[in-house]
Amino acid sequence: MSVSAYIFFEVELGKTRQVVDELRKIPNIVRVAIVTGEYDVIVRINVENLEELFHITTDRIHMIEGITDTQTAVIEKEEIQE
Amino acid sequence: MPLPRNRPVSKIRNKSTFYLLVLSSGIITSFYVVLDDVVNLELIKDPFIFGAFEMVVGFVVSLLFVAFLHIPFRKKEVGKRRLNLGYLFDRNFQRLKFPRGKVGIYTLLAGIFASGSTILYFYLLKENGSAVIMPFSQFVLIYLLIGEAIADKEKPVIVEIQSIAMIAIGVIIASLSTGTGTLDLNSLLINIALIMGPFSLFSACYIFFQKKALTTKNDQGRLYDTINLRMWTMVIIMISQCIAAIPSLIRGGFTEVATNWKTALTPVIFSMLFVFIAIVFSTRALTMGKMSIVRALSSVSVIVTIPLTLIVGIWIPTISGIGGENLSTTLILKIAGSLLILVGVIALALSETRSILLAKVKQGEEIRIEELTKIKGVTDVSFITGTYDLLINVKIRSIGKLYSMTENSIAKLAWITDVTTHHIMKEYE
Repeated sequence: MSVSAYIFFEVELGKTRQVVDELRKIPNIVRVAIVTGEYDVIVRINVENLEELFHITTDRIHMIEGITDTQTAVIEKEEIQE
Repeated sequence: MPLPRNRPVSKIRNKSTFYLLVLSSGIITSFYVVLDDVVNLELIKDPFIFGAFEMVVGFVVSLLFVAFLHIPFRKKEVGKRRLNLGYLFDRNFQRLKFPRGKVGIYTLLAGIFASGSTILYFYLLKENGSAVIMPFSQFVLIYLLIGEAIADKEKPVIVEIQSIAMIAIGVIIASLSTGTGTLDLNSLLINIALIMGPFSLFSACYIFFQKKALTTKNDQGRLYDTINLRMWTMVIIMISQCIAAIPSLIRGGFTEVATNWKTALTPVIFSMLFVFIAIVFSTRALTMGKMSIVRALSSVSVIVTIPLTLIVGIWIPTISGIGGENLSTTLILKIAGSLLILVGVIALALSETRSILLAKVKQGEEIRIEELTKIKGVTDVSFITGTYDLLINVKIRSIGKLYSMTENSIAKLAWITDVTTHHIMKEYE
């Protein structure tokens, strides 16, 4: 059973470029968006299970320098138009 | 809900396959149009008979191709179904089957409008040649845009007006021909009227019903596939083309086919195979990338047609649209017009802004998710864990339109509260 999630990031001022470049190296991340508003970066990640999500977030994402806060939102259900 | 395939953002390979698919589809399109032009000019001169001939051959070729797509390619089964080659082209394809119910009606309507535009395509091809037909085909975008604006009850944004003007002027410039040394104003006016009127309207309606058919689920909740849709619309086009050809056949056109059909068969088979491959490539590309980019890149066919007609012109100098005494003037007109169209299409396709909306659901209210997904511009909605309950992905032409969408549609839903908007400044997919 695979799991998809959105992760919302708050990034240290001036480090966005660096953080995004590091995030793009993680193969499970399928979309990286630099946004305006409450958060600075929003990514979408596809993993096999919650265990893998835990490993990727703690071992890889949290290690990236410049990230000040993350919030992971697991997708429970998805409705696509078309 | 099937999970999207893992597509790492940093890998180049997938991206290049995507661009390759779209560009090849555009280039293949120019090839079949020029091929049609040659056969029409040299072998079967009557546009109605030629159309009927090509559609009958095309139907047989496509039927054989679809039969080939039924071959199972892997023993692996997804759910209860066995995968066949057709699955590689369209994931919804199982086997050739007659569309029923609403889908059947949409297919019929798509077929009828496609017939109208195809019959006109052959007529216009005969009158103007391939170098002019290609720019024409982009004109339909204008109708789609105007239709969108009417449906939204919204004023078009500046980039839409710019693109409409560029495409319209581009089509007019590209359809000018000084082949005989003088501008034939009458035939030009008739052509422009035909393109702006029935040809584009039919194509726009065809695209509309095609999309309707592809997005309507049948009784079992399954979606229709592009291969079936193409086959069944082709049947309708073939029948209409044959009916349209009856007057010409009675007037003695039959002898022309009888003498030339053998020579014409090979190029026509190739042409129809090209059509099928071009459609399959662009549909396949649609599953990999953004629709706007697919549409923009495939308009490369407008430009590719020019050198192709020139090359063919070495052997067949009469190939219409380009040639005659004022070759350089004609060429400049064609290139200028085509470039205007290309820039217009690309500007339009790439001018979309994307946003991510986060929202909370009001407690005690019934959630009616379809109220959200039916809003124009909403691409998908996810129920998420955490501070917010919903993540809504939105794709829209301008931030102003996003404002009216949130204000008039989303904010009015009783079960939604506390919406925050995140505009995407840059995105990697």
